[in-house]
Amino acid sequence: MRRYVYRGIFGVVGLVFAWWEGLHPWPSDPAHVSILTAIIVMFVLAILVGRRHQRMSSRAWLSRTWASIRRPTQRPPLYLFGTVVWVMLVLAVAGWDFRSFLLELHSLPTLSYLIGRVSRFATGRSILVAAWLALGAFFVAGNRVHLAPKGGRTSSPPRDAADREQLP
Amino acid sequence: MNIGQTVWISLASVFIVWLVVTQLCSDRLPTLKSIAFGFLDSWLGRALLLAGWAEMGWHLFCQHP
Repeated sequence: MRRYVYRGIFGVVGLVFAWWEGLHPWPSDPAHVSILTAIIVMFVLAILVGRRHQRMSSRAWLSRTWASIRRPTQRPPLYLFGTVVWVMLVLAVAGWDFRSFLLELHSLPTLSYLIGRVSRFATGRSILVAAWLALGAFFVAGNRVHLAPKGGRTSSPPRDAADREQLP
Repeated sequence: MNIGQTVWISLASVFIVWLVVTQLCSDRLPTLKSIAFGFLDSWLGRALLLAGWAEMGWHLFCQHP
């Protein structure tokens, strides 16, 4: 129950921040300070809520990633195909964006230019900031492990006392 | 519509179609969420994603009109 209260509080604060941010255009000092503050707050939150809640150490994660790259055929062929498509999509977007950036032609807008066409308006800027904050919150709190009562680890959050009482 | 906009719309369409396909076949294909969760398994992966997120925010909201 408590985590839903926290989510609600952070959600409301985020929406108010996004609305306020929409009132300030990009060259203004308040826009710079507030975005920088949001970035610092997210990193601090990541440390606070992520301490002792990571699924594996960074060393183990690096080893797993390296093993996946060295022996990709350990995965099912369809899964491998899906991964290749994702990589190609990311490379296509990055490559086209980089090409447009280098050529600097009106007919070849970069992705940030297109997004800037939306964020130059107060409402568009507010919506984009809200989406950006939501993505940051997902990176902060997503995929954490929760300690089970006996010290083990579980992938789902622990139930609070009220929920536990309703279980058979 | 110029060539740049056409390419961006095409890329966005392919991206959305592939997003839906992977979501519908999430038991066999990697979804965007499962890839993100792969990064969020450890501090290093989480820090990389957060660094990219921070750079994106600074670039979009503080450097461009």
